Amino acid sequence: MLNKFRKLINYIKGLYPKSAFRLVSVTGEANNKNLSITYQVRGKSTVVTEKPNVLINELMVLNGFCKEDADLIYQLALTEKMSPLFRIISVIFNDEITQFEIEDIHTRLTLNLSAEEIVSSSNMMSNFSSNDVTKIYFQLLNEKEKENFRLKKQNTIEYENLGKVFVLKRPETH
Amino acid sequence: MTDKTNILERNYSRLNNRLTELMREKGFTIQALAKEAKIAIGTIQKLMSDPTCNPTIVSLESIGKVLRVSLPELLGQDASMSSLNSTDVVVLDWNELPNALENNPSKKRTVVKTSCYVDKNSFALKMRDNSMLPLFPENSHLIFDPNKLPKDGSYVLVHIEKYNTIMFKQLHMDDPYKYVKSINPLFKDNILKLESSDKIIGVLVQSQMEY
Repeated sequence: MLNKFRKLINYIKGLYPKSAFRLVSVTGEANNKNLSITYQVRGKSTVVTEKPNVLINELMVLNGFCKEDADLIYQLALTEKMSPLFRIISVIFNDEITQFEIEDIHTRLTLNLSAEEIVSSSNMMSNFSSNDVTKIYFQLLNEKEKENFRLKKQNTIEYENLGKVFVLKRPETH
Repeated sequence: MTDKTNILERNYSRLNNRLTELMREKGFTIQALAKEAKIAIGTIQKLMSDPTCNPTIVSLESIGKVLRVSLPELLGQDASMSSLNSTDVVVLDWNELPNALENNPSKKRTVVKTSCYVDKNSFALKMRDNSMLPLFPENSHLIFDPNKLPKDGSYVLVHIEKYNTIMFKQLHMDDPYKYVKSINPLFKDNILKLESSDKIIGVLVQSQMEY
């Protein structure tokens, strides 16, 4: 069984010798999830453009690259995969509430959501970059602080009013 | 009703009707849509009837994919209208303020687009430092409305007479006093009390990140 497997591997290696392909160029950006790799079949003028994750899935093709190129392709695919799915493209300061304009990097669709709505959505937070997460929590904290301050102020006024009633009803001590 | 409920209703009240309409148009039953979108039947039912529902963006996206509509369309926000309504706002240089448009109206300037409702005298500036991190990173575009009324907590562009300088800060009102400060904790000591001679030039309506 093991021998058969080894034979198969050797056969595949024969079909795709090391460095059968040469990396020509890398275009796009990992953060925009639009990376594409152009490679050439050595000794031919044929060039092919493919996404790095497709090249990794097609292991045969990746084995046809030299070590440096293969490492770079792995690294690019990983960076693209690890990059956030959503990003904040703008912050809108309305009179009532501050909203974040969020872009889905894959589909380029945008959606306006408040910090509270984003945080209460279970899957969303893990798909932002750390910088964006800081912005969202900062805004949320700001809004909570403002609300607490308003309530505290309201309570103080009520307490002061109660105090005045108490003073008026105090009996004379003579 | 709490504030939170109102916020959610504002965003998802149209989703109920829109989803029902789209399902009727495209001939989807609740069961069929749930199966195709890989979402629980209960969730779809809730999305169709409960204006306070709080769906995840992932669920909405998979429903949108099955129904072949964009997310704003599914939520009842008219995407085409919002792009048509975008306004050009001129980007000014910090050194040109406060009377850039009056002093040099014919100067050719770059513009940024905004879908927010802004005054015709609105202008944009490029954030020049880190004093307002984390919300306003360096090089982000800040769009100001000179006619908007500033409130406690507003982000404002203010001319400080004493130093003859223009600053972008957060405004704090403690009647009758007004203060401005940076939001970056490293600049916390930089709190300034506004005098009657100081002037608020504009109130921030939108900040756009640069990628």
